Amino acid sequence: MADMISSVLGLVFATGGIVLLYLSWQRSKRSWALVVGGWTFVVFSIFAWAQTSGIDKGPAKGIVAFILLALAALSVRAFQSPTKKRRTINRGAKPVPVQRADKTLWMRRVYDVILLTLLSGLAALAFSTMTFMAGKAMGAEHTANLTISFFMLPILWAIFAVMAGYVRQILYKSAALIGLIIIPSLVIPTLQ
Amino acid sequence: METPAHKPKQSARRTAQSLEAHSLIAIVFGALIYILAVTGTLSVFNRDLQRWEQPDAPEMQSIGHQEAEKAALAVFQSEEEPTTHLYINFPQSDLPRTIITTDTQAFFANQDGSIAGKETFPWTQFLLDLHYYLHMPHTLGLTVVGALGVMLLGLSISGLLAHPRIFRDAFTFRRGAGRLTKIDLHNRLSVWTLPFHFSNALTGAILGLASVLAFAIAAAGFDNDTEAVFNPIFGDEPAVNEAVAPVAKIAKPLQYMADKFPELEVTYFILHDPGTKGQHTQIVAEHPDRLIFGDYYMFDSDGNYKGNTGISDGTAGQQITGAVYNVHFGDWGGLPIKFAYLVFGIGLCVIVASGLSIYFSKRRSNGRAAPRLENAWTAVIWGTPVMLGTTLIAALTGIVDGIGLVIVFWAGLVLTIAYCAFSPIQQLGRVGRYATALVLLASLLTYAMRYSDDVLSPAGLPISIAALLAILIFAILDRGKSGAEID
Repeated sequence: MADMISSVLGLVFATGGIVLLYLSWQRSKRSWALVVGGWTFVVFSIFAWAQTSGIDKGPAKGIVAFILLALAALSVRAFQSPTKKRRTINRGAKPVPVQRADKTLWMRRVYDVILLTLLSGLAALAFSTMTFMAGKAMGAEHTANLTISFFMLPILWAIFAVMAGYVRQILYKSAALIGLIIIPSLVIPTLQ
Repeated sequence: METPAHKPKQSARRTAQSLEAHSLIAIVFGALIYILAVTGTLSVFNRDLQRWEQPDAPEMQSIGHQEAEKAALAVFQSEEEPTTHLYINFPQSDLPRTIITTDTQAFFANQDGSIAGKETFPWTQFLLDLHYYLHMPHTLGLTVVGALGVMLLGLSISGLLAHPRIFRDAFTFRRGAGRLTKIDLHNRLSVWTLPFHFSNALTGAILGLASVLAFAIAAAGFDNDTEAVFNPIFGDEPAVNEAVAPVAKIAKPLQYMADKFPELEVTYFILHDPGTKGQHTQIVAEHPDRLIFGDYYMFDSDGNYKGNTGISDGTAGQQITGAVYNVHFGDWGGLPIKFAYLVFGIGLCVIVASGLSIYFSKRRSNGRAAPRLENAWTAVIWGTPVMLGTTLIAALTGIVDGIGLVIVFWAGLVLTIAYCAFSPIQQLGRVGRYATALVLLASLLTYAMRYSDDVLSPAGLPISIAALLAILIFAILDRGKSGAEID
């Protein structure tokens, strides 16, 4: 029964949160009261869901319920929005010019791919290993230390990959990534 | 030289560069990420699919401990070569069957402990292998799939950076506005389902890259011993002693679990090195109120309890790592959570598919059309479900399995992409949707022909209804739309 009440409360808070966020979005000027109120309701909702199950599963159920409600709200909004008149594009009449990338552009693209896969991956791997070894050297508990490294590797890799795609100066990003590989590789032996 | 007045604003430049990073990752990895998104969404229902694929297997809500032991011993004694592991998979709500597995084979058990028949689910296995390894050798495949998870994370990060009006556009949706509708669909779905696709990409990447990191850490600090890295989380195994001994007790530890931990759900029984002096038992039990996949409960060969690994009550690191698998596969809250993952998974497929469609559409508007690549992308979007359906038909006929299904899928997909890229097919999206509906219908008919008596059984009905619903949705999606809109 208590679980049921918490679940219903969770749904009510989540719905309230989405309504407040929607009202804030509708206004021409941002209303911080509505934004903060909306997110506070969402936090209350997750807190209510947390009472329905274990320390990890309860909040997870709350997050899932919130996303589903948000998607439902978005679907309602999508169906209610007026259909925009679409521009007519005569595809057959006008030949579409096909541009081919030149050799330099292709080489640059291939190099970017190497940066965001191989070099970013190696940099993230070196950095995560160094973090683990630093934790080990400082006497950190093994499983917590390892779990942090498990999470760190993909997140760092993703950040480095985005950086590799974001920065336009080839030399600058290459040097940064190579540095991120070399520095941890030099530090790791000192931590053994 | 650019004057300050002509310089683009800092935020506009940041958006443009983020979009460049976003596009670069999407163009290079989009197709493989899309295949993983489709197969991942289906894999959430892997046990239901497994059940559907073999609807005539004996089903039960539970099995007695003595009967489970009888079945396990019967399979063990039938082995020509000694197996190093003997498993009992106990009935679960989505797979109410008892399955005895060794290193080389798997059999169903009847309620009375007799052996019923061989377990075989070639298509579900093909699907899981595609999602876990992209059909590559396991360690390599797992690493590549993990790296693709990283790239999906990168897409989430760069997408957020490229979206400066994230809050102002939170509920914006322009219906029937061509590319603008696609952009709204892509952005709104991406933002609101961010907790799902971020956590899913992250957990997928962790699962795929854990062994690579363990190799690096083992090399740096554990004399290349990867077991020393993992053992504190998942527990270590006793020393191997291959001297022959009577098979360990099976019913006794199961009885112990029922007596001492009645609130837990025993899912697997694992006997390591059965019939040797070094044999030992692990029982995996689910904790219904937790995200963790379960905890290992250890017993010696006489069935004496030796303690649990600590995934449920050990260190924070053990508990968090123990939750990664279930969070990724949505295996933590029964059918409601599976349905939620289905919705989010379809959302992710739409996000990936629409993302590159927007890119090609923008190129077309800017006079840099890439019609072949655009057609190839549409072929990936619709070729993937079509080829999955085709392999399903091939598996259901019983003619093709294992490597044959792999060849059918990849050869079919590559040929489809090549054909579409070089052929001026009109309304490719609509053709793809019809083809998907058609193969789904054909697979249902094949299924009905093969399992006529079991189509309406609890094992056969749910997935069949889901497939019918999917066909119906494709039909509804097409109604009243022009071809251009659909493409």
